[in-house]
Amino acid sequence: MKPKRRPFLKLAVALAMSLPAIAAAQQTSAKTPRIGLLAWWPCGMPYASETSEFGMFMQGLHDLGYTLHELSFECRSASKQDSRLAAAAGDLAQLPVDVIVTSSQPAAHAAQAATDAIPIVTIISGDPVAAGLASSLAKPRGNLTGVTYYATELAAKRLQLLMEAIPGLATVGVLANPVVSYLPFETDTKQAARHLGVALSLQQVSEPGELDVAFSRMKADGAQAALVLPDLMLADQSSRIAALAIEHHLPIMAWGSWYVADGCLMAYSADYGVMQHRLAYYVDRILKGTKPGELPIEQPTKFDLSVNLKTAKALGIVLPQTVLLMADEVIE
Amino acid sequence: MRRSIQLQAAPMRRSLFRKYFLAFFAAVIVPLAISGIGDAWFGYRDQRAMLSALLRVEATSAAGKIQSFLDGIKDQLGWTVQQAWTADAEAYHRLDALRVMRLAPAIASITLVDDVGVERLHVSRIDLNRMEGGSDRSGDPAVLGVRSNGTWFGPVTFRDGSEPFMTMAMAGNRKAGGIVVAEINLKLVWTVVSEIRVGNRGRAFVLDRTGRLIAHPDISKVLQGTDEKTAAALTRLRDEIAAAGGEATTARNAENEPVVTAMAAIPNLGWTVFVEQAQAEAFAPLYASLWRTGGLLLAAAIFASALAYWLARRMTGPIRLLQEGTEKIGAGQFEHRIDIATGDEFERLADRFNEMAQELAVSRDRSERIARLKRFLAPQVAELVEKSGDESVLAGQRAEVVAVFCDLRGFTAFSAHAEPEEIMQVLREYYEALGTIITRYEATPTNFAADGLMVLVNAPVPCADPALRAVEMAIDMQDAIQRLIAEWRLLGHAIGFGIGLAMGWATVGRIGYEARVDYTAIGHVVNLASRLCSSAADQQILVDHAVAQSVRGEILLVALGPRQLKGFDEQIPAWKVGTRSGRSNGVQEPKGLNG
Repeated sequence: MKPKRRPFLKLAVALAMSLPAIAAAQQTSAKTPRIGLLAWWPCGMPYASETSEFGMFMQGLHDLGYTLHELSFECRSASKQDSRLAAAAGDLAQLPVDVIVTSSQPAAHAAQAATDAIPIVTIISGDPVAAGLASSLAKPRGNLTGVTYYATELAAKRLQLLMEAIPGLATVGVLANPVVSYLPFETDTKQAARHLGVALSLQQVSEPGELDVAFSRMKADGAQAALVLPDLMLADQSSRIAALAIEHHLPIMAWGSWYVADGCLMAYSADYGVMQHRLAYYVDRILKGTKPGELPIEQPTKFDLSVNLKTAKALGIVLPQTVLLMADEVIE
Repeated sequence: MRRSIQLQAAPMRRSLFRKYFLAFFAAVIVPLAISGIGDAWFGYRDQRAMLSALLRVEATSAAGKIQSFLDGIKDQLGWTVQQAWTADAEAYHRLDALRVMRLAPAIASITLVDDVGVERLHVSRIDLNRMEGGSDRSGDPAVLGVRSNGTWFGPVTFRDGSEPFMTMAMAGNRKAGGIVVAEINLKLVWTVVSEIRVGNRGRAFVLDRTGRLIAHPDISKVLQGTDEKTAAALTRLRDEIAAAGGEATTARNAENEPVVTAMAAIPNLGWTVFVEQAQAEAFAPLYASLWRTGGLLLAAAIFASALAYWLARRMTGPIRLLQEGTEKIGAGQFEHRIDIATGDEFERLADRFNEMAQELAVSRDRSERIARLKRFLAPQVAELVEKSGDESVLAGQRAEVVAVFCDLRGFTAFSAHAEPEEIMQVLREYYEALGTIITRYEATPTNFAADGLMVLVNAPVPCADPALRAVEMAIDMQDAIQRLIAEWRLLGHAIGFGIGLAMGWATVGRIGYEARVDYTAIGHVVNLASRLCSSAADQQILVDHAVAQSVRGEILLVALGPRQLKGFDEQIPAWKVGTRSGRSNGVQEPKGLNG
């Protein structure tokens, strides 16, 4: 959702150099496939920015042999507000575009509400079948397909890894955005806590401004560590969360590696870059005529554990050898 | 001319040109065609065999790659069953398992079971890890399988009906090391399969025992699941190839494209690796070679026809010239020459024809000349004149000639009342009889006027004793005509015949114009002979003094004394020749010319 500081430099240069060509192509060619990007972050320079929401997707198109003369892009942004996704999706559907690409499940829902004809390619963080986005993973049948990294066990897995990193955990704070409460993360987390025998201090945060209060409350509840549940608003606030975590002396287990890069202790997740890159494959197949309903929704094969040893040091934590052995990405 | 037209019109069943053309063409094209078709056929077989071998190698190599992919996982898993399950070994085992999972991304989870069949450790990428309180796994098929075989491969399962997984289990070299049961995410076989390239668009895919796809370059085909129909079709294809002894066969793939397919088995898994290549691509070199052969044959055919045309032309050209030449010569164009300069037998043949034409021309000229001379010369004389090659004898000159005149008596009266047929009949018999005699005596007939005829003797060709020859001729003429007259009288025609002869100098030569030339004599002697003839009665031959002097002693003459002749002032003495019957008493044969 927010892969940061990826080595996009090559693509960025290539795109920057061909921007006039993109503009020309968009004006002249009626046959150029139009790809609608439904963004949560502001569009700005959506596909040339290093911190772009769709950077790896663009790289994926590039790797499949597309040049920017062959494609045109339309970007509509929700400006960091889930509530504005519907309007942005509606805009894209009105244009119309040949395919809508999103990077999150709320955006996918918005897109599917806006159209049932235009193919939608997305990263699904929840269960696509339970959410009614697809009839099965093998054959979605609708107009939506993409990559899902959902597994009920994943919330429990994060909790277990956190417990392994910090032995003797009794209470764990949880940051969740109530806007996405229709997704099963909170339920899964509660179930996992019961299973693993830890208490939760669940904090609903719907605005970045509420983070300070949430941390204070968790600390007040006696939390020795905290879990951040998947949400775009929280993803956007990764640096702030990291800073608050150090301040409140709370080791954080997050759901994306960029949290660790921004200073949180650890994260366990599928590789977002790989998933975004994979979206390009779906777009390619759809542009070549395959129906989205016939493209199976794929699941990642690998989950990466990231740890930030600087943060561990700041928090005075010595990570056990097993955690270090499992870590795919270590920031020192 | 008529003959030559008939020759041309006669239909030729097969022209020589066509025969030669076909023979030369066949001589060039047949060996080429045989060689080309042979090449194409053997090329096709070689190509098929090579393609089959290539695809089998690819399939075997793909199977080997997949096998070594699984062997790699197996080797990694081997580390987890090295240590015996002693009391403090759990931490080591855990580190081993985590390390192996880091090294082998395809392993989704590892479960370690100790030597008595109790689960001691479970490490997973998604599930919760379990470390204590493990259940008894001794009845697990994986554990049972390992105990009997050493290594066990479970069936392929499709998680949520989509992602393919397989359980693999193995034991260490010691019983104390226990058993490792690992879940393998088969989606990673894709990385192996997708790298296999056969030509440009050929690909490899893997089937499990039941005919379901477990690896395919297009991963969505695997994730979609294999429906019954496709599985049945693929199983059938597998059986077909196995029945064909493993040779690559042509078939239609899932997209209904014609492909060439070979396969290789991964025996301990029961998997089959297929390698397929689009027929169009696989046979492209073959088609290219066929096109090449076709093109060469076409070029050869064009070359052969050009060569055959040229050769046939060379052969039949002179023959046609000869044919045309002989037709023209046959039609009488003797001046035609056949122009062939090939330097071979044809040229010699043409030269012979040209010589023949020249000789024919000479011969024709001669016979034309003779024919012309024969009109006024006896045939023998004409031949003589022609042979001498000199017609100057016919030029105007003074010569001593014997002029013989004869005509029928009473012919005018006869012709006045007789039918034209009768008149012509009489004249024909008359002249036939006279002509035979004139020819025999080599005399020269000059003027014809109805029943009157003048004959010259001793001109243009002189002869010995012309008077005697003329008289004897006259006697024969009189005899012959009298016999005819006897017949005519029976028919009621009152006709007689008289002859007059005179000898003397006269001017002789050809007179008339080109198309109508006669040889004649002009002079006193001619008039005299004419008058003597007029004066002669039927059956009489009258001669003048000069003739009488010449034949005296040879022929019996009766002097009739001088008589008055029309156109002559003086009386002219005349002699009557005694008839042969009167002279020699019925001897019919004339005397010898010198007699």
